[in-house]
Amino acid sequence: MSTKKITLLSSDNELFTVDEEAANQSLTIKHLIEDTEPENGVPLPQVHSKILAKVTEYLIKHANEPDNDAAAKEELKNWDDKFLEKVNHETLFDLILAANYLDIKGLLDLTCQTVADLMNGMSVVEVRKLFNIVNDFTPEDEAEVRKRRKRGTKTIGPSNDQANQSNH
Amino acid sequence: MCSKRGRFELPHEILATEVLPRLPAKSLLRFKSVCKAWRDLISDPGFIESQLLKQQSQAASISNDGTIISANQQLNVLIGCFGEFHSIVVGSGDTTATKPHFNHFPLRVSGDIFNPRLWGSCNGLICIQIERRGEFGIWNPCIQSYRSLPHIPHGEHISGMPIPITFGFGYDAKIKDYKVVGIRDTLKVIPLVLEVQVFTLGANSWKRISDTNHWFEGKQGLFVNGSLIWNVRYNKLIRFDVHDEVFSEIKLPEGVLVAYDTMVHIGELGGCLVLVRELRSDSDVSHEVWVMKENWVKMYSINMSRSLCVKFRIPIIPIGSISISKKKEKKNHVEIVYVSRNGRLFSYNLNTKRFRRFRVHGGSNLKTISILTYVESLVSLGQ
Repeated sequence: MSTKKITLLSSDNELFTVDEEAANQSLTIKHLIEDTEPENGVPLPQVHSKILAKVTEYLIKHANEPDNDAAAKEELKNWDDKFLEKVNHETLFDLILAANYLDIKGLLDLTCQTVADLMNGMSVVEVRKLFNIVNDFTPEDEAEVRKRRKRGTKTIGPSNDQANQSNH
Repeated sequence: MCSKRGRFELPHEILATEVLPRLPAKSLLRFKSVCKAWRDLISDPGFIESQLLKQQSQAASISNDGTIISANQQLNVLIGCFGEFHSIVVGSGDTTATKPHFNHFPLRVSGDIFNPRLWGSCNGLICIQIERRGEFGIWNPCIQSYRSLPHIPHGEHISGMPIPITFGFGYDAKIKDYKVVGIRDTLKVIPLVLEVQVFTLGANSWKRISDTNHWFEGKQGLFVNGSLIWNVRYNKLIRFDVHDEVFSEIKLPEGVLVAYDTMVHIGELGGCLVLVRELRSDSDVSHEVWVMKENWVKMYSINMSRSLCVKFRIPIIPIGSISISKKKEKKNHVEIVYVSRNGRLFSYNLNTKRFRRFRVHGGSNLKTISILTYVESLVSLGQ
């Protein structure tokens, strides 16, 4: 079986060539090819070459997903971990946007899970900083939340303060 | 799109549908105070459901040939003891899991808890019986919310037997509602007639359905895959379809002859019903473990010397699997967590084929009345 090559064109006009099978993991690209059969590469004006390089790296590695081979799956998982290991937050977010736009489920799952794992160990303040979110609670709101948390629900109250603290 | 958006931002839409549902319930509770939009999102029933589905999709699973594809990273175990509850997290962030985290988990339900009994757990909700009179409720320990349920109505032929023999608690995915099934004695023994009452959380009411003649005993119904399963007298497995509300019998695996020296126990692994067939001889006890996929598939067997069994009181009921990372071997081991006859926790390592006992800090004197696993969820109890 001969493999057809697909050329992808980044927002800054860099070309990337991948096998059709690899490219088809992106439903957006798949549909673009089916609809238009572009000659000078599939234009992806929303994706910068820096990100598209990472995306194609992922697509090539994941082109032939192992079905029932536990060792190969393990190997791929390790590759995924390495793939995002040294990526900074900015690139990670750009990868999420690209995976979302290109509709690559595997990459979207991987990148979003990485962000979720990152958030899991963070404080509220750190999360606000990470996503550039402005705290829109008034001091009164926050006092209310704290009060409610302390009180617990009507029917159930921790029997001692120690337990209350251990919940934090 | 807003031009002020920094490069570091992700659209709320992606955060709401792709990122936040991947976080555990405990973290989400904390992140309710990030901003108002997050608070509203994390309280939204649709979001709560998608978070639960996401957690379930990442939970342990078993392939059709009976091998464990993935095990849990951690297992939340709730123990009902005399007058109190305790929760234990097995395997959390602890590569060896030799020391399960232990939380004293005080729950006081308007006064005292007498003889608490845990009847079932599903989507993070736990059905508990608070006292002997049959008064009971549903509890979400993660969000610390409790709702007491109305008493079971008195049946027509009841005289002084208001307490059901057993309960089961499950989720009807078709109507997105929770149901409690109570099975109650009618004093009719020849032929046996037991009354069946079904409580629906949304309707907040009990209704009586057709009687059953299966010999239910005190063991709780186990919610697996849309059905409640009871192991009733004479080693029969009875399935109750939570949506259709009908009973049927599950055939035991072929060749599992139930003789005087055989006992059958049920448990759950990777969202599947698991059957333990216990065979005893003078010198040892062996367990065959079967899992219900399309058919029964044998998973593994364990042989234990009689002395070991006496020492450990025989771990019998599998309640979950955990993944233990072994750095030296670059490979994860899978351990099956068991509950013994006297309510102690053990794990059986499928790779090394050894049992390990969980020493629970301060828990040596626990008089376990009932024990179950639960997930942490944000599911609210309504009303």
